[in-house]
Parts: sequence; C-alpha cells; structure tokens
Amino acid sequence: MTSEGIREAYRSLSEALTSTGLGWIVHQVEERVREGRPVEKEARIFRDEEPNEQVFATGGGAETARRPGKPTLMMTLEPWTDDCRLQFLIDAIRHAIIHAADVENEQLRLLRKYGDIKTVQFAPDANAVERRSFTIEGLESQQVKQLAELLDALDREVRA
Amino acid sequence: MSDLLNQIRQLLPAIAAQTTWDSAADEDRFEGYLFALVLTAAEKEGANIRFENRIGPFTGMCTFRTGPGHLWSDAQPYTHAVIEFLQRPPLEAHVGVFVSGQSKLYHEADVVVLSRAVARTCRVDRIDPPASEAVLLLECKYYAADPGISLGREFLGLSAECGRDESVFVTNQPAIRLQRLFEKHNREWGHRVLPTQPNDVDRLVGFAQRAFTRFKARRVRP
Repeated sequence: MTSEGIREAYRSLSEALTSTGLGWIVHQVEERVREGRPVEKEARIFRDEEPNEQVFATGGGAETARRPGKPTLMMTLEPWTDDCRLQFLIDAIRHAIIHAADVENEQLRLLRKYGDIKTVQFAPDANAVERRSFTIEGLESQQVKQLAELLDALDREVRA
Repeated sequence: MSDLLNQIRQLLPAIAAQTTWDSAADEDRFEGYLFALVLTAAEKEGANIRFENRIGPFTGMCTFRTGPGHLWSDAQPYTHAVIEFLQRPPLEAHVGVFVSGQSKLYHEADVVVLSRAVARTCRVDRIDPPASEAVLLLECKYYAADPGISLGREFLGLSAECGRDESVFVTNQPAIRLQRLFEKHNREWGHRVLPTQPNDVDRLVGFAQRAFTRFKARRVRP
C-alpha cells in the first residue's frame, strides 16, 4: 500500500468515527502519536568546556571536542510512521468496540456464577459530575463480529 | 482497500447506535469485569460469594458506580460482594470507592477488597476506608490506544500511599512503556487483561489469589 493510500485510509476511518460519535477513539490515538516513539541513540558527549572556548563550533573541530571512549546510549523521540498511525487506529477500534463487547459479555457470564443476575447497571453517585447511567445485558451483535473481520482484513493489507 | 473502508464506514453508525460506546463506559465495563475476576480468584481460594446492595434487597441487578464515590453512599442501591472463607472474618469487594492513603489524602480505588467489619463501620459512621485496610486494590485503565506514561506515574504514587504489595495496575493494553516503569519501581501490573487473552487473565487472577492466601494466613484480630 502506498503512503498516500495509508494516509487516505487513516483520514477516511477518522472521519467515519467522528461522524458517528466515536471521535474519542481518534483522539486517544492522536494523543499517543503526539507523544512520539522513544528510541535510544548512541552519542558521544562533548568534553567539558575550557574557559573562552567556542561552544557552538561546528565542522571538523566539533568532533575532536567529544569525550573519548565508548558512546553513551541516550533517548530521543521520533515521529511515528503513517502505517504505524493507521495500525494504532485499527487496534483502537478493536479495543473500543470489539474487545469492549467481549468484556461486557464476560463480566455478565462471570457474575452470574455467584448470583441470579439479569443486568448490570452503572449509575452516578450523588457527588458525580457526570450524570449519565447505562445498563448492560450482554452484546451478541453480528455487526460487531463483521466489523472485527473487516478490521482484520484491513490490518493484513496495511502490513502487506 | 477502499471497499473495506466503505464497508466499515457503513457498519459504524449501526454499531454506534447499539449501546453506550464511550471511553467512560468502556472503563466502567472494565471495572465490572475485573470485579468479577477478583470474585473468581476468591472462589478458587475456597470462598463463598454472594451479593448485597447498599439499600434494599439484592434483586438480580448489580449496580456499580460510574465514577468514584463514598462506600457509605445510599444515592443508589450500589452492589458489593461478600466474600467468606471458612473460619476467617468476612470480606467485601467494592467497585469505585474513595479510600484514604497514608498521607490522609483521598484516592480512587477502582476495585477494592477489605474486611466487612471496616466496610460496616464506614456505612454506619459515613466515613471512608483507609487504604491500609485493603486486602487487594486494583487500578483499572481501559484505553483504546496505549495509555500515557502519566498514568503510570499516578499509580506509583497511589501504590506508595496504599501499599505496593496489595495494589495492582491493570490495563487492557500491552502498555510496554508502563511495564518498564513498574518493573523498575517494583510494582505489580497486569496487562492485556481481556477475555481473549486467557494467559494474561490467569496471571491477574493468580495475583488476586495470592492476596487472598495472605489474608487467610493472617492472625485473626480478637
């Protein structure tokens, strides 16, 4: 897949998520992308300065001003590649929808071992800022299964 | 590729309409799931388990908090589990309650197990439990993308306050960066805890089992 194709796929998926009220998934991915990719690089540190030394000297003279011996491993942050960004987004949709549905179903299955439980309700406490509540009853959705298959296929194309 | 994307685009509105899909709801589901895994661990260690509500009888609907609240709150019929081991004082498991740390600051315990005697005291006197009374404390983080390092730093503080042996950071993500941080600082963590990852789930259940084993080995207070 070309770089332009990968960028276009990311744009298309992001727009689809945002327009269906799932923009928070894109937001979490972009936060992760903004943090950058930590990598270790070898560097040889400059020697301690002499008084009146030209600190920002460049060119051939700069090399001679480094400490002798083995280089030191130091950290830097590099940008993520376009295909990594797209894979993050595909994986984020899996977690936000497909795995979340699994978590809901498994929660009910496990709790039902210890009591006659029909539903689980999540409700705000008196001091809560957010006032929404919702109920889960298990989510056996053919559409969620279909989405999982489509994401797997897209993932395979990106990795190919 | 464009055909795949079109099919995904067409599916998303129907899926979005099926239930509550947002980051807070996913986190709530995760807390309920981990609560159930803690009960699984207790059962494996030989406990009897039953549910109780803060107000009224338990009628087949578990009610958990959407955000942290007071264990004593009677704003809703919040549900907790009673965990009973033979010849040991009973325990209770709660979802999303405030606990106080060593420095008397408040912390949010996503899932916590503590003695029933302490929980009853909290309900009657309308006070919050000290984290030092926790047999087990889970910090639960469900993220669509890899969780940021700031969450790891927060957990270092929480576990220093509430007891590093009893506290565990649990996430659905591989969270490689956080694993490094927790290993460096000798903290307990569970990653990729999802129904599709039985090995990672078993590791977390094993940690909870050890906490219950330690509890069973303790001397009973007179």
